[in-house]
Amino acid sequence: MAWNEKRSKERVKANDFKDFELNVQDLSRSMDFTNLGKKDVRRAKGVHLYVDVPNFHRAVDDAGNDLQKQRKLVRASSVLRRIQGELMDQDDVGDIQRQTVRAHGLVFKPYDGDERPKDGDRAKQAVIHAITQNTYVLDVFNVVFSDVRDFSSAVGLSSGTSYLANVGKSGKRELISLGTCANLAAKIIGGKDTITITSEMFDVMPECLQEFFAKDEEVSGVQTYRATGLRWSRNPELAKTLGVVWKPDAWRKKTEEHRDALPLEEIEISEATVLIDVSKLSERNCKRTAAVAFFADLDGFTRYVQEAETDEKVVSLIRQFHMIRSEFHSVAETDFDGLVLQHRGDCILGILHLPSGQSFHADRCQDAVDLAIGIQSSMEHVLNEHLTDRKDIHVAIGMDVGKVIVSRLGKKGERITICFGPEVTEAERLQFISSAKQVRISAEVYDQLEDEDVKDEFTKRGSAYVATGLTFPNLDEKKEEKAAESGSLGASVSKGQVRVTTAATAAVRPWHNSKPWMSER
Amino acid sequence: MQWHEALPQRWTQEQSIAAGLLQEFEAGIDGNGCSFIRGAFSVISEHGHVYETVRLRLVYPPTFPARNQSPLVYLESHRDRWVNRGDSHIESDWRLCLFVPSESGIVFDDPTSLNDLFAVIHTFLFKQRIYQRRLLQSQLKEGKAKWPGEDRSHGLQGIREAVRDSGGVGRNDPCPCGSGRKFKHCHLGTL
Repeated sequence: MAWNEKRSKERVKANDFKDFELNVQDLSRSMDFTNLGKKDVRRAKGVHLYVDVPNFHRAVDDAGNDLQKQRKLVRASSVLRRIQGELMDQDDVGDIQRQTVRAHGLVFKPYDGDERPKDGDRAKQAVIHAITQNTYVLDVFNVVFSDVRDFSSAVGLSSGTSYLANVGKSGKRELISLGTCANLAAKIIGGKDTITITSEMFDVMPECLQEFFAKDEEVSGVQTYRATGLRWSRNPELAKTLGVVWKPDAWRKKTEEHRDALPLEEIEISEATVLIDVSKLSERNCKRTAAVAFFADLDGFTRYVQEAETDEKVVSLIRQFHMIRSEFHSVAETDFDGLVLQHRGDCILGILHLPSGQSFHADRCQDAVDLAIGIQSSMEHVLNEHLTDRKDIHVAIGMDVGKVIVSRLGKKGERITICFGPEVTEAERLQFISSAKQVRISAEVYDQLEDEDVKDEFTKRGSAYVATGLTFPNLDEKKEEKAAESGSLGASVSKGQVRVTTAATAAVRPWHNSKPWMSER
Repeated sequence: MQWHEALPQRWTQEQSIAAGLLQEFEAGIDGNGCSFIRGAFSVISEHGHVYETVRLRLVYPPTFPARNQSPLVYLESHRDRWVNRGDSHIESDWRLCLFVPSESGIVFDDPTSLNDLFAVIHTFLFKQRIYQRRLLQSQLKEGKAKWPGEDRSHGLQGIREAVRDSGGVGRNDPCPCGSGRKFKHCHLGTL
């Protein structure tokens, strides 16, 4: 199977979400956004919080191909994810998504009596929670999990309005948040033991917290402030002032209980030889496979959501988001044997691991690049035709190839598929530095490409290769013009379908490339 | 008796194939009693992108498919955008010069041969599109537009090239010009 424009147009037309009813409401104190239905959209004012382990990729590197080390990493990640959730729950932080070791939360309380938000109090609550998360990882978690590299911990916080929607299929929970503040919180995360906030938050925070923050760089035109080494263990006076009671021993006990409940010998990591069925995965049943990891991010979409002035516009944009997402899934999973594993806002993470086996390494890389071209083609030649409000939404894709581990963590109904490996991190980085309409691939992927015409479209940039505006229609036209010149362009027709080939030879029929003639001058 | 009356099943099959490939498909008998097919044909890329949609009219010779005579293919659209001069391989009456008839590689006796003819038309139109673009560019630069890939010279010279490349034509074989007559009664003398 491959990408085909006609098929893509038919899919998008049949699944354009035009009549999909959506109900936009303000997120209020009494609402629980963890149980959003597919048609519910919540306008949420609050502080977005990203907790991350910036050196996680190094821990993944350490594990390498050693199964026992990989088990230790799966266990550590699973426990960290659980405790992150428990800490969020304790501090009344809304749980949007907990990825491998990165958690995304929303502080949307307290409200005052008129249901109007209290910005200063929420900023304070968010920073308190950030300190707790960092303190936990650096003081408690690392002590319990001495069998993996010490995890660093960092938090990014940004306040503003965003929209929450559930994109999970058939009752599954998969929340996404759309809004620049949510993206900004992830973007501003710093190095080990840091908390980074925006100036908007800094300005409304109590003085006792402000003094720990210093002016830092500007990110996306926003001034940031950063605190380093701000933990309860080092600042007991601050904890006292803020009324925080930090109980490291209790959390240590909980962490040990979670660890002991998941013995290493119960974690099975097996090679994937057929298409991974993610519904069968769990923390005790993981798959390991050579795969190309890809991240595809919608450029500009978040900004449009932020700029939307009316509920109708927001609804229209979210419908379009569903349409785009659905088509990207079809390209990845129907046109190619790829797997979409996770949504991070308007970004999707997926892998392509078939055909399996070392001898098919080059095929996987070529298929994955074709998959990326397919996504770009659907966006530029099909989806943009259907976008009623905007016609200038584009996608940026990053890819790298290597060994990945795929698993599924969490409770029933709230499970999230995770995928990690050094190359997954690299694919994310490559996407992050890419602009609209770009496909950025690692040198390893590039070197495996067999299609010279596709290779010619890429230019070396640093250690990676970039192609801009690479779609099948654009590529076809170039290839077909070249083939027309060399006499290898041909077509065959059967059952109402025309098939074009650029590799026609006189010896292989049916194909037709007769020499035109003119009976008169 | 016209061929479509003599071979009604074949005529039905021709229409069935064309209906699957042409939008706004029509078929009928023209004022001269010749059967014709018309409709819009899309020139697509390997991955299904529509480069161009053109309107075509295919007119069948009265004795089709005897002596391997091909239906004549006329361009009904694009007459305001494309030009039918230079090396465009389009006659003054907008008939497409798809091939020297003896070189088509199509066996018109075969009931599915219309598929092959459309395959030739498809490649021809893709090249025509490039040629017309080049023609436009050459007018701007006062250069000469070149047909993409190999083509035959016009008129007798083209037939001569086809005869030469095929290694010769028997006296009693159909004439390569597509007249339907024997070579000895047609172009043998002039070539």
